[in-house]
Amino acid sequence: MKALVTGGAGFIGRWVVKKLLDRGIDCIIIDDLSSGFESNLEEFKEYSNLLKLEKESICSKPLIEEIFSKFKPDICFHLAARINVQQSIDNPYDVFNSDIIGTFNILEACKKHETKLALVSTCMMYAESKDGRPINEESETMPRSPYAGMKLACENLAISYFHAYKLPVTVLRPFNTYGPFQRTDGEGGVVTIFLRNILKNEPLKIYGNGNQTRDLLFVEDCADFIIRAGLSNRTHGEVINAGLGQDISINDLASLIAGKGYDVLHVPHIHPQSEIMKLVCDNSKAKRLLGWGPETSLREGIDKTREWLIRNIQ
Amino acid sequence: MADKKHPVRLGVTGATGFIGTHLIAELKKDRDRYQVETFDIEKQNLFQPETYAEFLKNKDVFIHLAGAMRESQDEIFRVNLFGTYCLLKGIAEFNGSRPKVILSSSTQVYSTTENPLWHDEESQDIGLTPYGLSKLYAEETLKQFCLNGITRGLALRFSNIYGPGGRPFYNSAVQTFLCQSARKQKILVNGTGDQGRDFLYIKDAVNAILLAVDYEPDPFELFNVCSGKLTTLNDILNSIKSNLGCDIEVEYNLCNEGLNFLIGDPKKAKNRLNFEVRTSIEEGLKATFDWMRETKI
Repeated sequence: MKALVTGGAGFIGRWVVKKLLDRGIDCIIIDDLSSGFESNLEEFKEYSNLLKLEKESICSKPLIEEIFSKFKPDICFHLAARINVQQSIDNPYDVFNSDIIGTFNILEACKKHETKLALVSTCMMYAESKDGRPINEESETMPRSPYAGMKLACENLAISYFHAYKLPVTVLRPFNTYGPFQRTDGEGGVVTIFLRNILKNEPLKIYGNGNQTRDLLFVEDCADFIIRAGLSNRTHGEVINAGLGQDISINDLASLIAGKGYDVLHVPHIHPQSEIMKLVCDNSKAKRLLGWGPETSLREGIDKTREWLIRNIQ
Repeated sequence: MADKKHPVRLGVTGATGFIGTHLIAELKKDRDRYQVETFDIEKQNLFQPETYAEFLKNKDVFIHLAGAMRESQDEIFRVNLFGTYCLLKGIAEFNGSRPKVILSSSTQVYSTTENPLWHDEESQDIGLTPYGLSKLYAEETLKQFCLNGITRGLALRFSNIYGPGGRPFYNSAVQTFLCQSARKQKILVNGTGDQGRDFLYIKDAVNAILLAVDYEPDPFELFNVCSGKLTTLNDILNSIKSNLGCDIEVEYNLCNEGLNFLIGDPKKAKNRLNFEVRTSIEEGLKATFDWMRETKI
């Protein structure tokens, strides 16, 4: 069995690749290394079932066609995308070109070669839950940034291929994912950035009042979810959430990671108009369709991420 | 546990079978550590514990490998379920020191799935084949004896075991394919060959049993003993071609059953038993093929 992983050198992508390789599935990676790093794949050098790393963009239609024709993947895990909300606000043209055109190329190739598609999207297009209840797949969406808007557009495009061409497509909405191999710069996630700052003895900076909450999903659980949902054939045409199922405010997260009394600076938000104040995931559909649930608690996940950072921080 | 002065006293059933032969050879390498007695199928009757009371006495661990697989449905249930019950009842009557029982079970307790799914021990996808059910009920029977304080127990759910000594044309596609390759016969594949299974080399299976001998279950535990790797029949055929250099002819019988998978998740055995698969499928196929050519099976 062969899987094509776009964005496979990225943070979540490399974990998807690792788990596929460990399970005996052949992998082909396309990644232009715009957000990912080749070093994320260092561990797989000895794996004979990593067939190819193509360091190109999914925007190149001839390249996509060549890869699909040559390898004939059974499934495509599509994770290649821009990852930064602020950059999407500053330069939406770039996100349009990479995410929308790239996803369109992937969909066309999947249609032509009858390849199953797992589209990895985001939770960031959901509207805030008004009654504070966990967000399920029926909940209202309200994209507040071009990042979220284009993700939603890609999802809709994919779902339309399911209805129009019966392409087996599954749309996945993992909540905020963290863990080893996440970037520690401005494009990383809050857990990793906090941990890095503590290891470097720098203050933690929180945008706004810090009351915004996040549902934090450990990356290995996220990758298990993506693989299980992608390979299943009970999920075609479905949108599925995955998260821990509980949220934590950024202020509480800072205390949990740093302990009380650590230097915390509240700074003006860089994009308050795009902020979502409460995000918590309802996992029940993933549980019902896939038997999937998160296995790693927030504490365990933070410990594993910290251990990795200590070994890998420059 | 085991030290030089007090070897572990083991009783093994099914010692002349595929797994049994390899296990006994391994145990005999370390006579300081293991003191082995095998069940004598000629003189003893599994269904009548009084015929093997001496085998049941003075043992610390029983490794119960005896089973039926390709026989009639009646025989499968009689040997795998009633036979296990009789052994346990015999232990209750003649042993009395709450020994450990390691039951050889199978990932065939799980059902095949239309798409790849890695079954862990909590999986609710239960298979309905007579063999799978007989093993599931045998596990449950052992569990009850453990909960009643008569034994401590582990059930090892092995995936598809292959290796030197395995029979072709019996229950293993790997053994059959290798044998047909060695004999330069045409290989017949049911379906497209894309169905995925989880293959385990015999030495890795034996190693899991040795780890189980040293493990203290509380009081009963289940473990998948498998590779966790999806390997299709076509993967096996490709490896026979490219790694063993065989020029094989393959014919697919496409009117058969649809695509299906049966794969286990070995995470629990990894974490608790320190079980680790050491033999890659390429190495295992090579060793099995070499053995087949030597023995001219």
